[in-house]
Amino acid sequence: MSAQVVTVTSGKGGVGKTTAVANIATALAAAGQKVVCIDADIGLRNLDVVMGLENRIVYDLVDVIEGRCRLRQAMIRDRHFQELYLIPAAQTRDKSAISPSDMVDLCNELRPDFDWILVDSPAGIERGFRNAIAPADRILLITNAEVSAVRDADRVIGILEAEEKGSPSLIINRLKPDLVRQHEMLSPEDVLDLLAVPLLGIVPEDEMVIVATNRGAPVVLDEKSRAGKAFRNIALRLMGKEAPNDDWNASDTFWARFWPLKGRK
Amino acid sequence: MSDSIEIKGIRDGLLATLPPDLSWADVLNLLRRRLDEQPQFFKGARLSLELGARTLRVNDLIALRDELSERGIALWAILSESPTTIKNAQLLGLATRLGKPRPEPPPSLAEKGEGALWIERTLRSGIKIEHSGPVVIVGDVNPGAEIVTSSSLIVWGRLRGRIFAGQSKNTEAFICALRFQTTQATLAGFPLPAPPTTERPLKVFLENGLPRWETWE
Repeated sequence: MSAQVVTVTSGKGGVGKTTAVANIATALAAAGQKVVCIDADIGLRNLDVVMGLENRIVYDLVDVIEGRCRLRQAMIRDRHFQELYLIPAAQTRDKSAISPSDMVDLCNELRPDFDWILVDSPAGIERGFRNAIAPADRILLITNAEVSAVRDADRVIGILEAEEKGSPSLIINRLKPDLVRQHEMLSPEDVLDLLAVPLLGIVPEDEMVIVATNRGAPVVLDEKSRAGKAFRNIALRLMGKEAPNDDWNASDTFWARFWPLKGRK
Repeated sequence: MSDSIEIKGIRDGLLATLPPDLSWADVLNLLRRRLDEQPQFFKGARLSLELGARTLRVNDLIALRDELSERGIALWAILSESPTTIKNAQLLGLATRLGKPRPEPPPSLAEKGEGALWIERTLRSGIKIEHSGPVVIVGDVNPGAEIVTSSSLIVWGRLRGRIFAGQSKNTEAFICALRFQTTQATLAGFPLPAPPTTERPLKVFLENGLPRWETWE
């Protein structure tokens, strides 16, 4: 077994990187894959909270790299799946505590035992971002359908191309179908037209994500959630399997279900 | 010996000789490590790099320049035996010989009507192209990208970035694009008004000192 290292990044902060990592990892684990997540956002640790593992942290990524513990000691097993692990970030250090080559070495050590290594990148294009993309075999770029997020995503694609990391796969997160229909939000076509990279999935805005995050149980565990379904489809596509098209255009208001012409142009 | 970076003081600041045999990624890692060993020593320094025969692209140089500047180091000169690397360094306004004032005067390409810069890729946000001659882009120019030229600009794609064409009052210069969608363009120092809304290719040039739009056919 040799794991694929997938780094999730965005440029802009707050577009849903951490939520995406937690959900894609959980969906992969639910499909029987062996997965380890690495929170590379040192100093602004989050992934443990989203995965509901905060209270179990003893050692972290920086402890492993600085040799204070063995790799296995820093790996926290998920509450829901036996084959899903998290290596949390350090909260009391900063991005300069590790280097890109540390990340490459760490991932190489993990590769034989897993199918997937998911790296949660910090926002920005500085040191932390470079640490996160160094070991990547594949990069998932998350953006919202907003001009500012798309601009930053474009910058990140430029950097990845310059570093010969290839084209990232795009995930458009928190899409609001009603706003798109009213031409108040960029459509997926607008975003793809500008960024010109392959699309991996579209995740609609879903309040269940907030509820799930606060509970520390990723939204993919909720069968009914629309965002959860979109993340399950993304995981399927990552595994190279067929997944149904994301029906982001499905009406999301009560009335729209009964009145399909409402709001359409 | 050949696997280490030699750094010595010269009149223009510091000169680093990079090992020629390693991959560029390894060289960068070595350089980062070296700089991070004595961050205070390097801070504020002007750094020249001896690259040997290595060929670097504009993007490599931009990334290097940006990364050095994050550490407070100014990339001053690129010394290379590769004509491509030298040309790319000049595009970024870097010196390519020691002891010469920066920026090296571009060899008046515009006047001779040669030296067009041909770029076959999309210019993404954060990329800046500076060139004295004409610039031809086969691809899009995305918002957040910037092109500065003292001559004309032709974009075989969507033009949505920030453009300064016909700099130094070159009133002969023009801008063409398949989709002219930028609102941030100046031509020979004149800020251009928003282009007419059309699906057709457009050309803009100056006539009696005023910008004039035409379909580009």
